[in-house]
Amino acid sequence: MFYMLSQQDIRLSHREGIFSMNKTKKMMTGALAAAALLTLTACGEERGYAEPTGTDCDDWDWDDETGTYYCDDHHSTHAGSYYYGGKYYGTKNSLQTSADYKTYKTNYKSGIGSGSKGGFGG
Amino acid sequence: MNRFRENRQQFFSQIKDFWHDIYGMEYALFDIKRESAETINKIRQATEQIGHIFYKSAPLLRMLDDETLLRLGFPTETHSFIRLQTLPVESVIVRLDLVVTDEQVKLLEINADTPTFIKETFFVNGRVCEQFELKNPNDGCEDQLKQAMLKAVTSSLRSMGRSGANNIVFAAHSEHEEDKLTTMYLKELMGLKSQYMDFHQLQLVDEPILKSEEVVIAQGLYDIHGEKIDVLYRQTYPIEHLIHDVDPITKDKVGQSLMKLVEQQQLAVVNPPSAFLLQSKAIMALIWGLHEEQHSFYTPQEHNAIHKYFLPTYLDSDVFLQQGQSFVKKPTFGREGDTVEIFSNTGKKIAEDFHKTYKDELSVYQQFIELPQTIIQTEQGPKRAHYMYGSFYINGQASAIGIRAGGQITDNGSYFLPIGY
Repeated sequence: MFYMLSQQDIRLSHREGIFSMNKTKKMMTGALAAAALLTLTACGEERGYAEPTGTDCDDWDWDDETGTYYCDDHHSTHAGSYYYGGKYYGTKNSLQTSADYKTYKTNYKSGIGSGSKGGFGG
Repeated sequence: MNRFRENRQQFFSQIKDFWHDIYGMEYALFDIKRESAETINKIRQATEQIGHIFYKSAPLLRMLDDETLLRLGFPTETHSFIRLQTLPVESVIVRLDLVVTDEQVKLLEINADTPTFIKETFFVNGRVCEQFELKNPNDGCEDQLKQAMLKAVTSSLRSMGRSGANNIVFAAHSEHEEDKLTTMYLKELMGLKSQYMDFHQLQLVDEPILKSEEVVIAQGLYDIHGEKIDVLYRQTYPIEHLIHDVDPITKDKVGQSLMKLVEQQQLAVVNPPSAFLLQSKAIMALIWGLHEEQHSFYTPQEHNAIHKYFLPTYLDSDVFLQQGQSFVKKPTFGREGDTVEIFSNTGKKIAEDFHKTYKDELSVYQQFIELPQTIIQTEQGPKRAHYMYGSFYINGQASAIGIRAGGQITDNGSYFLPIGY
């Protein structure tokens, strides 16, 4: 049998400074900063636009990296394509080099910044 | 030769290209553990939920600053590489190592980058089930694996804008039987036109070679025939080793050059770069840390899953020492139990692996959990052994399951114990 620390025990111990936990604390400082940013981004993300309809792709996934829809249906004629602004891009490279996407991507990053302004105080 | 040994040798010798004995020692047991459908479902449910937590955490890991990545054990040379996402899934073949008892399922570690134990669970387990006239819990998983590999390779090619005939190379260190035969199994299972080569047969061109201002040899990775490789399937070669590869003559760091080719979309690798991102055991400390904070990055349901399936894990041993808890010290990129140490509730070392390959690496400290025990049949007769489950997560779905049986620290000398029901 092994006694399991309760979450409360551990949090209290941290607050009271009983443990040094230096490596864990330092690592978590970076992790919490990234998590806060991502959480706030997710709140304001709303995926920007709707996924395409009327295609033979049964699986349009939201791709966090590009902020566009990605067709994850290998039976589809759009398989592996990205969808943005009413257009389909066969490769990530063709998406990322298009003028439309460059404009959007700039806006997408701006959205992340504005979301974080309202969240840290909460 | 005793009858059991004779039967075992006869049975396994019929399975082509399988390593039922390794280094002259018994590996695959001519035995089977009967499981209930309920246990199998419980393991698959845990696998799906744990896998989801890791996949959800991956975008957060890609956003970490360099200093935090270093604190998680990722060498500087890998930082730009691991931030790449070349496939819609973070890893194609992942294995979770789980402790399963009647009361609970707990994750010991994730092997996201270069898991083995593949042919054993996806193929050999079914043959053993037939022999023992039991149903195979992994029935259908081989096709699932094949489809996942096909999808990974075709998606990788599309992301690089390649079409038509492509050069797909499966590579391994041929002198290592398990590595070679695992890689060959995957190559044959995938079914696309491809080649097998030893790593030492590959050649890398890191800058275009010019003649009279014309490119005569483009930048890229080349096979033994001088043909440029599009996809390198490197199932058994860890990235933390690759970064140390050097050319024997020039001493150039060719492993790091290979990673640059991937970043420049001159080459695709499977498992993809993001698989290495999940490989550090320190990621479990990060997930546990966010859970302790009840951080809103995870939903309440995800926090429940972390509480249910993860063990408290930190980068320091302080909590366990203070609370009088037994714990395990593991190197962040250790494999096969190498350098693992177990400490008692007074902080005294009570067990250790005799290999010390990773003794200078960053370690994580995880709450100790006793592995259950069972009786196994070996050529030397019945033995009592600890056991844990290897449960595969393929392209984001639970898949084949198998058992490793041995000591409290599961190491290279542990047996493969098939399962059936």
